Amino acid sequence: MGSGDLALVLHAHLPFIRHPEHRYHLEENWLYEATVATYLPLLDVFRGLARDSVDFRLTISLSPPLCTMLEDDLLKTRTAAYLDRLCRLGDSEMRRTSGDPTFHRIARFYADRFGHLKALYDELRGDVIGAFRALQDDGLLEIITVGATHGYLPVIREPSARRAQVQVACESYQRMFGRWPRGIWLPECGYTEGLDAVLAECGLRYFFVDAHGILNARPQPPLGIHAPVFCKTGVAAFGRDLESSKQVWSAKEGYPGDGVYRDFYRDIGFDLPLDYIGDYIHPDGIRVHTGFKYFRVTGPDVDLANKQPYDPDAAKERAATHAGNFMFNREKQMQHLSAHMDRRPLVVSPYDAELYGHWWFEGPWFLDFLARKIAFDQSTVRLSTAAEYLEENTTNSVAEPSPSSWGDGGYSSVWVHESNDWIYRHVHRAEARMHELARRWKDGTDDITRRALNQAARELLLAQSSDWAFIMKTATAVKYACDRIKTHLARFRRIDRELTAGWINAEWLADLEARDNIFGELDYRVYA
Amino acid sequence: MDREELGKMKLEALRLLALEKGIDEARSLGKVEIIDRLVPKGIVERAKEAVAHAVEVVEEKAHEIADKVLHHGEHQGAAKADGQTAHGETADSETADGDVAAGDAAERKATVKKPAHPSNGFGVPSMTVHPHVDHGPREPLHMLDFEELPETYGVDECEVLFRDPFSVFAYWEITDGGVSSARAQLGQSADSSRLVMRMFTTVPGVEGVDRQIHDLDLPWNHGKRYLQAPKPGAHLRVAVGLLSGEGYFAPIAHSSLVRVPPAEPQPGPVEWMQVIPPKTRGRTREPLVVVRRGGDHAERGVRTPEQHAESGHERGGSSPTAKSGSQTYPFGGSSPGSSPGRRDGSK
Repeated sequence: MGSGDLALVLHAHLPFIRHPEHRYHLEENWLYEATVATYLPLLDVFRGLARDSVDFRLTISLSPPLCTMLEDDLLKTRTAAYLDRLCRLGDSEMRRTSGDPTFHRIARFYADRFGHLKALYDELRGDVIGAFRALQDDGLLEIITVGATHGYLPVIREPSARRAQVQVACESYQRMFGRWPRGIWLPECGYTEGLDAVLAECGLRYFFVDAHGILNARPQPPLGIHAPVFCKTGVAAFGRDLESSKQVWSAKEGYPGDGVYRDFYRDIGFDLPLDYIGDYIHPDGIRVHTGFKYFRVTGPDVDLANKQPYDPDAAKERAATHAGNFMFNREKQMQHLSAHMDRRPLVVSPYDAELYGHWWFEGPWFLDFLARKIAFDQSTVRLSTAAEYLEENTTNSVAEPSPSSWGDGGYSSVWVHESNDWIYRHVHRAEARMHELARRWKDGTDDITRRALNQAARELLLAQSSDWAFIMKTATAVKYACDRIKTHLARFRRIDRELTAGWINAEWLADLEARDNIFGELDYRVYA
Repeated sequence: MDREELGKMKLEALRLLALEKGIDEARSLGKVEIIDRLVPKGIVERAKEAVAHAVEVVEEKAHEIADKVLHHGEHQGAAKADGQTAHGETADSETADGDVAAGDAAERKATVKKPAHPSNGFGVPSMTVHPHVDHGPREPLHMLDFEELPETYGVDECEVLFRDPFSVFAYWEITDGGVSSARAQLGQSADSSRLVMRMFTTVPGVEGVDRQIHDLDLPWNHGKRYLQAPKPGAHLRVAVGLLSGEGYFAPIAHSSLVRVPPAEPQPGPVEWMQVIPPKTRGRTREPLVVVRRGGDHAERGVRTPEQHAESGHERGGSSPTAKSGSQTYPFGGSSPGSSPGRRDGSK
């Protein structure tokens, strides 16, 4: 009976959003929500698997902005405060629902859950990164890096700026995880011709592309997406398996759309009166998600008003069923593929990490069941990682992956769109200027000039984040995204002018360093 | 804490302290202002500052009046050249191209030049630098973060980015100097020339490399366009320049080279490569070591039909609750267009 390897890959990223000047900031909340909904629950699952000696492997990319925010003292303090608020709201909800057994049961579930997550956060002393690092050191997780600020590499014009996105990410990774990364999750899975040379130069061994990045590679790889290809530089490219991706991703056909699972949109932040919920939403009364969601998906065309109450136990049971179904399909897939291959086929299943827990509440349970079932219930599928696969399969076909991304349409149409294309000429000018500045001072300079150059590089990196273009395209927090790009470019241009004039406003620079405090060890000469 | 101690604190810490003290506006205040709110100055100190400020305002007003007197005529001329009135308002004049497409009109409207110094509410340009002042700009620090992006950069440039296998995005800017140089290149032909974006593509084919050139008239000296890619998988570069009536092209700026994504698999001879895995399993950084490369790797790859028949494997079925469809190509997938992709709003 043929067997094969399954590489689950989670991509965890949030843009760098840190506003010390505001006591409450809407977009900063994304970090707290994701920490509570995704990162802590995933850690809880991974640590549970390790504790129970379940042999599992999983790859997770942790982007430098996310890592920086998770490590930041101010944001850690605010995350702890967010968890405290959730626990208080849990108590309040227990009291409010005490006369209704159905909803009281769900309120208790949330109160217990948030209490447990708060205890976990306290136990870790807020060191989420340290907990991930420990799991990697134990050989269970393979943590890979992402572009420094998640810049979509196909639209970065200046070669040194493209290299900087990768090199700065690797250096940041080394500082966080005590080793050099072996692999990288290209931001938005965006590949363009020649990128492998940048990755090779930065000491990376593998990356991932969407399926058509491999299927349309030149020449067409004989093993398709179920084995990696080596680029001419020797860096390996792994292709996304569409079949397994779709089972989880697809809103219509995928597991998360099951009627038993929790509905994301019904939330007491929107449902309850302001005088009750006011302390747990935006201070100006803007309604936001609180995490207390009492209803289930119910059905595909059921409107919000007709959703039925959520049953956590039934949902957990369904997650176990879906994990079994996923495993069963992978077994059949491996048996089928191995009949056509001279080696163990590899199925690469990458997902946004935030799908698990944030969007699909039961996602972490699904992963937990899946890992345990694969470890104990069958012998066809083995959990593996790209790095392990390359250790066992040192010979692969050579091909140039096709330019591609994993965005809607499969190419650049999300990030190069009428809503956001105005960005590029300005960012490109800044890239070219940064290169000139780094060349001018490539042999070093005095302290204040060095700091100004480093900050200019930070502002450019932050402006390059693909999230801003994505937000504009999806028309969500558009004003915030536009303001962020304009602000970072304005800061960059002002530093440039001050450097050119030979006069640097030290107080303003110090203020900027304190606000945009990502990449403290950055050396601007990466742009030289 | 006294003013001196507060002065040693970083702005961020000061803001947090002020917020804790209930000074809600601290998030928009500079360091000095926050200190003022936390520890108000004494009456003598405030009187001295008021006198100093009054002197500064009078001096500045005097400079402003002198500037107006000296450069009155010059300002008027420059404002007209920029399409602005003497009061800084935009003049919405028509151009010779009355029949431009709606998209062009919208784009032009969006790219009308803005006043050189957007008002910051203080009556002076935010970004004005006074070289003789050694204590830095007087605006609160946060004011320095706000600045509209420039309409043009005064450079000759164009760039192209692929959007998908069938279209690319291009932007351009040219200067009067660039146009003059191009006209000089064309000589007498310059009089009949027009501004165009020229797209050069090379497509490798069975009968060698196919080279194509496409020209697109440009109505403005800066802007952006989506262009149809002549062929998926092509290498492409664009240039902006003057095209004479006789067909001579004088480039002003050109883009870097991009490869448009192919839309289908690309057959070709298969090569194999062996790469030595890292000995330390990632604990230290190790260089990539390629030990073998070539086409003679018969033991690798897809099994032959005979091997397949011997193995006796058939495609397995799905469980009753299976949600995915069957595959027709053992190593393939559906088209990129059906890629599940990211959920909208997942970030």
